[in-house]
Formats: sequence, C-alpha cells, structure tokens
Amino acid sequence: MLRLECPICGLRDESEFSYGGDASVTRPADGERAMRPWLDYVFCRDNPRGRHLEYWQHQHGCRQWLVVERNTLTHEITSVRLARDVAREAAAAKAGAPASKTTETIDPEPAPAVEASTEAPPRKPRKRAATGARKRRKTTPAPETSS
Amino acid sequence: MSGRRLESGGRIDRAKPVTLRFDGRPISAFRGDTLASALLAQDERLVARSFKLHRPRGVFSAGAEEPNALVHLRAGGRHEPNARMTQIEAYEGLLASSQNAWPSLRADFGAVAGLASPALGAGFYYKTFMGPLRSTRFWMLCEAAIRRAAGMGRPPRDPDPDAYEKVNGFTDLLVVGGGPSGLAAALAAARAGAEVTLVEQDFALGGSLLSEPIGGAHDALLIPMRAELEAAPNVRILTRTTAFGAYESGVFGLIERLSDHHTAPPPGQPRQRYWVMRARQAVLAAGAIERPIGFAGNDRPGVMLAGAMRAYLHRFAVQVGAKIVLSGASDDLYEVAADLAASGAEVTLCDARAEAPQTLIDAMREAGVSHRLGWAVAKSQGAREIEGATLVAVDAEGRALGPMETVRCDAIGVSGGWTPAVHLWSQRFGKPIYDQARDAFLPRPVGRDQGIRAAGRMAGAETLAARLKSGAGASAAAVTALGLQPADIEDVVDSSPTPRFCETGAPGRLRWVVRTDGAPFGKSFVDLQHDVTLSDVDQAYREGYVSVEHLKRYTTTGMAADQGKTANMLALARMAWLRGATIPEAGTTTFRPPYTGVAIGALAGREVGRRLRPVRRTPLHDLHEREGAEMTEVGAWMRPWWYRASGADLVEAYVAEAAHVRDYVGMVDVSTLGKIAVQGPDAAEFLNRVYVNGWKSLAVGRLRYGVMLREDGFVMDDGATARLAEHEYFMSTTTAQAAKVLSMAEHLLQTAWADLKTHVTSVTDEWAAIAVAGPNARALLSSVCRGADLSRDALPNNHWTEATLSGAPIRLHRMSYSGELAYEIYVRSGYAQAVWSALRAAGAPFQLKAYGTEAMGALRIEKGHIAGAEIDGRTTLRDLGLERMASRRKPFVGGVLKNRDALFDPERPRLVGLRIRGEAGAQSGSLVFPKKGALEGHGDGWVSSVAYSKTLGGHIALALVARGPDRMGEEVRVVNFVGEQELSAEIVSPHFYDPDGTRQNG
Amino acid sequence: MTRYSALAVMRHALSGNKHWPRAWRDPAPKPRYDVVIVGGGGHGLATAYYLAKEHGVRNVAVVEKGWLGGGNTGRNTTIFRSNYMIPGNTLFYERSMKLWESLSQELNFNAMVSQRGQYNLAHSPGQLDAQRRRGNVMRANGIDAALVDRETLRRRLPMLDYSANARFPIHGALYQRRAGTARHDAVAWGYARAADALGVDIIQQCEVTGFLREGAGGAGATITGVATTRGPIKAGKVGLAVAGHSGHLAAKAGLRLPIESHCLQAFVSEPLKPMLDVVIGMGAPHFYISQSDKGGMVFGGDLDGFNSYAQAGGLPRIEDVMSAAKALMPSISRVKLLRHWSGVMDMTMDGSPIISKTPIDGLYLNGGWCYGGFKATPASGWCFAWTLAKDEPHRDNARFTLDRFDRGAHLDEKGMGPAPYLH
Repeated sequence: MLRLECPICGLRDESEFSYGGDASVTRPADGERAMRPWLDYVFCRDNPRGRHLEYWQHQHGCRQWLVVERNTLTHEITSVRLARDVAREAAAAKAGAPASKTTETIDPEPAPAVEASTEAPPRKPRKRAATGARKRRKTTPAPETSS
Repeated sequence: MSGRRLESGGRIDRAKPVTLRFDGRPISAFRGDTLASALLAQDERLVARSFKLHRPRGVFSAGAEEPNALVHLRAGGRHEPNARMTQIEAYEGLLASSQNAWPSLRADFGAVAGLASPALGAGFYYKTFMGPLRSTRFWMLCEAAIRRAAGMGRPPRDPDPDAYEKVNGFTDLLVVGGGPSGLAAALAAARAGAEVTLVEQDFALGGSLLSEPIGGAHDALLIPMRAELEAAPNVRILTRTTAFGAYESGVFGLIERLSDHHTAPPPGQPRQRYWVMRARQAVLAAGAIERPIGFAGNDRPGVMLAGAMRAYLHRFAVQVGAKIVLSGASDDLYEVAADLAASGAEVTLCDARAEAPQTLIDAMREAGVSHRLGWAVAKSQGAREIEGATLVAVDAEGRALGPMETVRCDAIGVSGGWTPAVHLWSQRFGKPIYDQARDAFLPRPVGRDQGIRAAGRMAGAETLAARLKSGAGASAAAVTALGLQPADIEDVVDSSPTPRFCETGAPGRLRWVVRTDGAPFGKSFVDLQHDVTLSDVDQAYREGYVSVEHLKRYTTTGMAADQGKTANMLALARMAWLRGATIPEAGTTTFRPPYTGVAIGALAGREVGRRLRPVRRTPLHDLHEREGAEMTEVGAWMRPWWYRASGADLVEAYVAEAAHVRDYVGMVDVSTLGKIAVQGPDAAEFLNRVYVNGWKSLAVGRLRYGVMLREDGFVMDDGATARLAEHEYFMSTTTAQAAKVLSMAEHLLQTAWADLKTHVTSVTDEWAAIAVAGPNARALLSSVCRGADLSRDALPNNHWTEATLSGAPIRLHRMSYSGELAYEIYVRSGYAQAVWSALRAAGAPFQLKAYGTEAMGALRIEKGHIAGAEIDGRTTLRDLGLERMASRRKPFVGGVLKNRDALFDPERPRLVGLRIRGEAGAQSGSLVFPKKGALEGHGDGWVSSVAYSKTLGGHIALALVARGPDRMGEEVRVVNFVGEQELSAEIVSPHFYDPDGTRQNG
Repeated sequence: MTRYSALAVMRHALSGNKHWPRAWRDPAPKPRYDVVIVGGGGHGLATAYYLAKEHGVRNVAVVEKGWLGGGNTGRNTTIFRSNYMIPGNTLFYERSMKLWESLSQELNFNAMVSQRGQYNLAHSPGQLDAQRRRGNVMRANGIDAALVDRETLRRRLPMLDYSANARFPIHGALYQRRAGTARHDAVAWGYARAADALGVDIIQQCEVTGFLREGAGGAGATITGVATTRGPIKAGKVGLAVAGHSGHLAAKAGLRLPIESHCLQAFVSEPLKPMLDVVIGMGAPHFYISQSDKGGMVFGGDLDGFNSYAQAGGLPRIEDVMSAAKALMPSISRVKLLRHWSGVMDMTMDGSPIISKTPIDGLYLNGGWCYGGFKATPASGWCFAWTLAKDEPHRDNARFTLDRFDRGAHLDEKGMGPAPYLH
C-alpha cells in the first residue's frame, strides 16, 4: 500500500487517493487547433521504468490534485507537490517571472495510531478548507446505468 | 500415561487435560499441546496421505513449515481444510479428521497410485491424455477424474458463521519473531522508549528457547526478558499472529488468530483480526527452517526433522521414539542425540562428516549414544511406520562408499542444515544472496536504508549469543533512525548460556544419500507434500527444464500448500549439482506473500455481503419504501424503479406511470443527479471550456442544457446548468458521471486552467431534487408554492425562480426531460421529505402520482433524449445527432480530437428511433440488420433503449444504426439472437413525441 | 521430436524415465536470422511456431532475456474466452478460440485445454442489456453465447450468494460454453517444443540491449537486427512480443507508444477437492474465479491502478479482491489464500492490442495486450506470423494498428476512454 505525503493533509493511505495518470505530458493551449499536439497529450506516453511524474487526487481528503514523483519499479516516492503550484511555476517559467507558491510542503509527522476499523481522519487542512463533499470510499463503476 | 509422553517436564499444563478427537478416536492431551504433539504422545504415527501418490505420512516438523500433517479441522460452517497439525493448539472438544484418504487413512484406495508411480513422473500429464481427435473432449474426460483425485482438503460448503476484523495499526518499530533475536530487538527498543509491536506466530514467546529443557539456563534468559517486555507500557505483544506480507511504504499485513484455539469465537468476538500495520521501522527475526535429507523412503511416518524431535522432547515432553537414528552432518545434531539419550531413548548418531571435534565424540560416549563418523541413512525400512534404517558410509557428496548395514529403529531424525526464513525480506527486496560459508540464502544490503532490518538466524547468526547481539544491533540501528537514543541490553546478552556441544557452529552439508553414480537408492523425496523426488528433478534436468522457475513449474516442487519451506533448497541444490553449477548460478526462487496461508475471509474483513460497497440513498429513500416503490440499483444509488400501486409488474406499472404523466402530472425523485456549484468571476469561461456549447450569453435566472466531451473527443456527460448569480452557476450531471465530471473539472482548474478564478464544489448531497412533470404540473405547483409567479410568461421554459413550499425555501427550475410541461424542485436535503409530502398532500385534485426510473426512461425515449445507454463512452456528438450543439467560435475539451477522420466514417452507427411492428417489444442490446441479406457480422447497429409507449400506441426504441439519419422510413430487422427473437421495425426520427416541443414550452 | 503419447509414457516408465530427450535445444545464437522475435513468452513462441509451420519461414530465432514463459504467460489466471463485442476484436478472439480447441494435438503437448464454460454475471438491468448486446454480436458472428436467467444460475451455481444480503444482486449472466482454462506454462512449453522441432532457435538468457539500424533514429530508419547480451544478431525483420515491456523496448528504437505499464495481481488458494467446475466473471466489482486441476482456486480483479513495473501488488487491491470473492461465494471465507503475485501489463489507451508494422522499417510490434493476453496467445502468434511473413495484416488483426488513435478508430470494449488504469 502506497502512502502519500499530502501537502495539505499529511501522510495518508493510498486508498484515500485516486490516480490521474502521467503528469509529464503538458496539455496544449486551449486555442491549439493542430491535431498532433493533442494526440501526443492524450495518447502518447514515455512510460518510464523508474522515475515517473504522475497525478493523484486526494479524493477522500482535501480533493487537491497532486504531482507525485514515484519510482515505477520500487514504488519509492520522492516528492509530492500541489498540482496548482507545479502549474503556476510552469506558467511563470514560460513568462520568465519567479513563481509564487500558495502552499509550502509540510514535514512528515507520524499519523496518530488508530486502532478501530476506521481510517484515521485527515488532519486539519493547513490553508484553505477542504473542499468538496466527501465521496464514498468506493463508488461502483456501472457504465451501463446512468441518468 | 500411555504412549510416548514422559512422566515429567515439558511446557504443557498437566493440570489442564483436554480431550481431542481425531478421525473419531478420542486423544487425551494437555493445554499447551498441539494436535501434532498430542498424536505423537499417543504414538499415532500415520496422520496423513500425500498429494499425488497417497503415501502414508507422519508429523515431520514442529512448526509452520510442516509439509505432511494436514487435516480437516472442525465441521459445518467452521470446517477448515488443510489445517497444519503442528500449529493447531489443543483445546477441549477439538475435532479433526484426516483428508485426501478414502475409505480411511490406514486403507486408502488412492494408494494404488503408488503402483503406477513410475508412469507418474515429472510432467507426465503434459505428454498424454490428449486423445486422437483435434478436440478438447478426451482431455476433459480425463480431467474430471484427475480433479477428483487431486486437491487436498474438502472445500467448505456452508457460509462462514464467524466475523473478522480489520485494524489500522501504527507503530515505531515492528519486530517479527519472538525468538531470542526478536526478543532482544524488542527489549532494546523498548528500553530506548520506542513504541514497539512484537509479533509471534506461536501462542508462546521464546522461539527456539522453547525447545530447551524447562527450568534450565535458557529459561533463566527467557523468563526475565519476557517479563520485562510484558510489563513495558510501550510494547504491544501480539502472539498467535503471523506477519504474512511486507508491502511498500513500511506496511505489513498481520493476521492475529484470536479465537482459533477455541471451538468457536466467544460471543461478539471475531475469529481473526487483520492488522494493516504501518511501521516506521521493522526488525525481521523470523528464524530458520531445518532441511530434510534425500534418501530412499525419507517420507515414512517416523522420519522427522532432528530439531523437531528436540522440540517435542523439551516443549511437549514427548519422546518420539524408543530407538532413534539421527542422520546429518552438523554439531547441533549432537545436542539432539544427547538429549534424546538422556530421555531414555536408544540413539544412533550418523555424522556424515569425515571427522568431528573430539569433545563431541567423547560426549556421545558418555551419553551412551552409538556414534558413526562418515555414515548416513541410505534407506528407511518399514511400511506405514519405520521399522529400521539402512546405513551406509558416504563421502562428502553423500555418495555411498561401502556395504550397507541395517539397524532396527522406530524413528529417524534428519538435519540437512538450516534455511533462514527470508520470506518477508524477499517479498520487499527480491532475491537474497547466497552465503557459501553458511550454505544459505541471506538478506543482502539494499542500498538506501528502507527501515527494514534482518536479525538472528534469519540474518545468518548462529550461536545464541550471536543471535541476541544481532537482534540488539538491528534494534539499535532502527532506534537511531527513529531519532532515539539506543539502549543497552548487555545484561541480557551476557546471561546467555554457553552451548554444550556446538563449538564451530559449522552447518550441515548432507543433502542426499545416493549411489556412487549419484542416482537415488529409491524414492527420495524433495517436496514431501507434492511427492516430488530427486528422480523427478533429474528428469526435469534431462528434458531441459533447468531454470528454477521451470523446475518449480514442471515438477511442482515448492508449489504445494507449504510453499516448499523444507523443499526448495534441496531441489535447487540438486539442479545445481546436475548442471555442475554453483547454487547462486542455479538461481533462487522468489518469495511471494503470504508467508503462510491466510483465510480469505480475514482479508475481506467486514466489507462483504451488503457491505461490499457503500449504498447511496436519497433523502427521500424512506418515503419511497413506505409508498411501495420497487427500488433498483443505479450505480451506487438506490432509486425507485416502479411503484407497486401502479401495476402488478414492472411493465404494467411503468406503462401506466408514463401515460399518467402525459395525461395528468407525476413526480419522480431525481436527487441522484450530480450537482456542482461553479463559482467565481471566470465561471462562465470555465463552462465555455468544458461544454461544447456556449455559455457567455446565459443570463442570470436562466438555465441551459449542455454536453461535454472527454479529452479524446467522445461524449462524456450531459445536463442542465443554471446561472444563479453573476458569478455563480449550478451545474447538474448524470448520476453515473457525477464523480468523474467533478474530478475532471478540479483537475483542469488546478493544472492547465490554474489561472481561471473559478471554484467547483460538489453539492450533490446538500440538494434533493424532485421532477414534477405533466399538463397539471403548473397548476399543482402554483397551489403549493409561495412567493413565485409560475405563469408561462413569468417563468418560461429553461428559467428558474425561488419560492417556498410548505415553508421550505426551494428553487424551481423549469425544464423538461419528459417532454411535458415540467419543473425540477431543488430543495435542501433536510426539507426534502416535507416537500415531497406536501406535494402528495396537495396532489390529489391534480391526479398527482409518483413514478419511477423505468417510466422516466420511457418518457425520455419517447422524447428522444439520450441517457447512459447512448452515452456509453464510445459515441460522438455526431453519432448522437448533437453535432449542431458544438460551437465553432470557441475551443472546448475534446474539440480538436472529435474531428479525427474515422469518427466521420459513414458506417459509424448514429442515433435513430425505431417503431417496432407487432405486439412484441424489442430488447435492448438487439442488433439491427437490413431487411434483406444474411444475419451475420455486427449488423448495421444495435438497439440501445426500448419502451412501450401507450401514448404512441406501440413499442418504440432508440438505436444506433449505420447511416441511420439517411434511412428514415426504411424497414429493418431487429434481432435478439440470445432471446430467439426477430422483429421488423421502421427507422424514424428519435424524437417520437412532440418534436417541436409545444408541450414542454406550453 | 519424440512423439508424446500414453505409450511413450509407459515405455519410458519402464526405463525409469531416464531417456526422455530435451523438450527443446539450447542453441548458441547464429549471426543472422530471417526473423528475430524478441520475447520468449507464449506470444513470441507461438509467432515463431506459426512462421515456421504456416509460412515456411524457419530461419527464426526467439530471444528471451530470462527463461521462456517466465513473463505474463506464467502469471495469469489461465482463462480463455471469445466474448468480444467491438468489430475488430470479435473475430480475432474467435480465431484464438478455434486454435485453442485443437492446440494440444497441434503441438503434441497437453496444454490441458478445458472448455468448462464461463459465466459473466450481470448485476443490474443495465448490465444485463449490455450482456445481451455482447451475446447477440457473438451469435451473429457464429460464436456460441447464451443469456442465462437468475433461476437457472441458482440451479447451476448454487454456491453463489442469491440472498437479499448480496450488495449486487445477480440478475443473470452471459454464458459461453466453449470458454474455459488452459495450463499456462504448458502453452509456452508446447509452442517452444514444436517450434524448436521445426528448426526455430530458442535463445534464453539473452537480453536485447538495443537495435541494429541503418539510417537515422526514429521513423525513417531501418532496423536490421538486435544488439544483445550475447552479441549482435542480424535479422531481416524484428518482431517485438515483450508483454509489459513494449514501451521501454520500443523506446530503444525511438518509438513512443500509446501504452502504459500497469500491475495486475493474481491469486491462488490452497489446493481443494472440486469446489467450482466453471469460470465465473463478476460485473460489479470486477472479479473472476476458477479452480485449477491441482485444486487451487485461481482468481483476480482489477489492475492496481497506477503505472507499475513492479511484479508485486499492493494491499488495497488485495482487500478488494478478497471482499469480492467472499461476497460472491460466501463459503470461500475459510479457504486460505496461498500465494499472490502480479504481472506487468501493456495497457493501451483503448484496452485493445496492437499487432502491426511500425513506422520503422523492419520493426514489427505485437503488444498492448492489457490483461487479455493469455486467451489471445494462439491467434496473436498466428496473426503476427502472418503480418511478419506477408508484410500486411490478416483480416483478423487489421484493426490492431498503431495509428488507430490518430485516426479515431478506437477499439474500446469498456468505453472508458484513454485512461489505461481504468480498462
């Protein structure tokens, strides 16, 4: 089981997060009309054996999207950052100006021992209040039912 | 007492006698016994039959590595197959029976397999049973017979009556193993002030110390350590607990057997507890497992690991034989010999080594042990039990040198050396490294500190003092990593007794005893449980299955329920010898979790039955049930399907409900729709980018239907969004896609669109929604709503207004899914039942009826609205006839990739309506074929939704059909092969009912 | 090749099984082959076999970095079926089914092909509609399929939970009688032995470290062989069949693929007397189970859900799968899980495979099997051999192209879109 150091909620279990795929690909500008950049963004992957930048969302916590650096061979996690910070920095880098961070990554603290059949609750968000209604831990995919 | 129980000694509680039953026979034992020790005490030798050849088998070990002694435990719902006798604690009323034997253990019909055994060599089944014809028939006939013969225990038939519990654990230091090194590690960390969890699979702490004489020097070491640990407030001791798996991020899976030593769990107690233990640091001190020796008949009941003999002697006060022959090539064998002799047994010790330390030889003389250097057991004699042992002089490779000599005996103790239990370590870090000197695979350094350390025998430490030191050392490193000050346990280490016999600590090297040419003397087993012999390994080599993986899979060695704990090293060594390779060249097997079998129910925990997944209920759920709604699953939600008041069955009911809505007015709970608050100055821009249609022009007070695509250009979701204020919108999504849409929105707003001043929040659970539809809708609502003018001009279609209903503030969206004059009432969940009831109360004069999802479906089909069946993740705007919605003036998600060539292939099925001819309705999932031509391939398309429309007086359907829009009026065949049904239908517009929308705009 | 038969088994038994010949040779690599197949799993070996057998191309080498059959061929749940709905998949998997049905005789190696039948359970009216559509497509394509109702299931599969306590009630199932299981190792060994007998060189312990090429890297270049740990090997054509590792091997040739590597776990229980004599697939949550001839319950569920090359799975998925197992078959609760392991899957962006030429001359790709690889083994080899021999795809793999994403010609059985971790 992976454990991710959420910059907002601290060290939490994999089961609270949902995976969002490769974070090394950059989405073309909305105005981009050419096909190729979109094809590369949506379909083509480096699929590295080793260091991998990937999106995770703390779906059952603060609902923040994170950019996680993880080794796909060993599952060793070397960094976890708020996706919005990474995006702002990228934008700033483009603009050539220094980026302004909204949140600083916090030091890992041991999660409190909870010996009940429940997960320990996420710690109080450092900055803005946790957004979004808690979704249930598992929502069942039933593609054939809708509306 | 009868049999082989000694009058005194042992760690059993003689004050607590218990009676067990094995194959119906009463077995008297004591608390502190295992089923194995109890049976040995009564001289019950034959306790099981082997997997393939059904050979008679006895207890072979005293622990988790047991390959032979598997039984059926308990009965009925608590029946457990393949239970290891060596780990089953004796309790009053214990019920066990032998398995894989018919009609009885002594006279097992399956033993005839032994006669055919020459033909049952390695992989024989790959070479026959194929049959003459090119078909699978013949094999399947053979398979039926083979499957009855194969398998070990009888499967449980009844549901498990017991409960299981999952616990999320957190600890500073996890110590796996309660032997000397584990105890030392735990103690050192405890003294340093760390939060320690000590895990031991046995019901008592002590490990190998429990196999030492009671009240001796070893107890003087064990007892104070145990006492200090039990007293320490920062130490959690989990006995009867197996650490079955090591996973990433320092997570370990533990199974605590809370009630397996009772007939049944105490009331309200779970049978087992599954710990997900998050350990900041871990010390693995899992010990080592003794190896067998390959000689002819090394599987007969009475052949046992030498260490196990000592365990039964000192821990259980059971002397396993009166005349015992020991065979091996190590010093520690001498200790076994001396102790057995001291207990009154007649002992012959065969040390295959050419020489041994003089002190040991003298000691044997004193102990009265007949001692042979350079000799080993070549064959066991006897049938169901050992009657003798044939000895032979051997060289260093175990090859016979001279004539044989048979001695009478009733037990043979073997020691082929020790295999460190590196399983947990290997699960995390892969292949261990071979240590030539110790002839064992040991954990290797893993580069960057992963917080997991090995100690004791598992790490190659041999003498007791060395094991204690290694435990303390590993613990100190862990404590330092925790940022604490290591503590000193010299007092404990110093108190360790000096070994009586083991001087060099040199491990044994005797693997097998064979003819001069290396061929076995007879059936010499490598894997006792799977009946794999040295000859099988030899044959695998001959046929080219030389890699360890091929060897395992071809001969099935190490693949049995014991995972080859005693077998793997022997098989590997044999293959290395055959290849003339070193052991590391021959490779090693990788270890997979779990260490020992784990009950599936324990890992499933409480998330079974109706708790398998959460159920989502709307705020109106209770009312629906009270009002006689048949509920149905919609994703995670429960929704009213149809109302029993409307008809006798689903069809009768939904047809009536739908028609009623068209004639009068109906209401349906649509609270399951996803609801998202979209707020901020850039909210309109955000909507403009996620939906294919434009939003900039939408005025406050209005709402609009929108469709969104995935990044790859396929339709993802649709729904209406209302503009509540300058910077606030209320978006609704389909029930199924709610979570996905929110996540996608959040993702875009936190990455590519991080510059947009927009915030999205799920408000699905905050708002209930009730759709009120039908000609009488306005009249009904006007009679109950206060503070709002619902007249056509004041509130035209696609507008919303605020109002109060029975005192509750509501928002009234005028919009129509059914095609009738319709409204959606949005109300805070807490008021939902009040509002529903108020509508009920006021509804009578307007003929108000509640309707379910089936009728809702029928209404939207009549109207040609798409739903999940059409938005199946594979359809495009064009397929669904919605391409006109897509704005050309602005970019939106999926806007470029939706234009890929193949998506404009004229053969792509596109949405149409079907009027079914005749009385029978079509079935969803039927295929559409042209009027003429063969019914083959994928046809022209498929039927996505069907309904009987009372209003239109017939059966209708929505379908996706190739070139559909160009085939209006064409006659087609609708075929449901799996339902033996063929219908004819006419292709029509999907907008069957009120195409120009006069009713919904009325 | 000594023919395997009951008679041979008896004859060799009399001589103590001491004279069985090697199942396949252990040759040193030749400097040049007409075709070099990279990857000694079921797909690679089958490809080599059909190249030699069907197309007379016998100067073929299969190079394997480890031991043949050591990848996903030996790590799956051994199920085969042909219940695919999307045009382009349907007939391909049916070809595989037909090859399965005579595989043991074809290879003279008992692959234990057991057509015990498979039930795909539906847990809602919507799922039942989807199963009906699938079943109709199968029937219209000459594939056996039947829709079974709840009452019939209750009679045939009494061990399942039909009680009101079931979270996902069983509404019915799609049944394919000809579906079943096969002995996965035997498939690899059987193809290896038969290919070897036709002159194919199977070279184990030989890792491909790069490609020999003429011209610039990437598209436009021509691949003329492979560089290996046992020296360069020239080849007229190079075919990749490397299970979960297509991505980084293709990268060595300068190719970027619409593929991610993900970890799929498999589970086996202790050996039991017969408990289940069919294959069952569950719709919600995704779960499948059968019983091996040795008696172990073999089962699995979804991917771990994030990119992985690690051949070890995580606890969350393990818990999910055990929950599903007990929810479906309450009596399995006290059965012990004996081993769990995992394989690295090539997950494409639409969940369907690739058997195709590449933009690079001389380089052919067989990959992207997601977790349908085992059942596809015979047809995969058959179609890849055809494509290599004729330089054009056979009808049955015509849509398994690399460029289908550029064109929008997706083969998305699940309708999940370009999210490999959801397929």
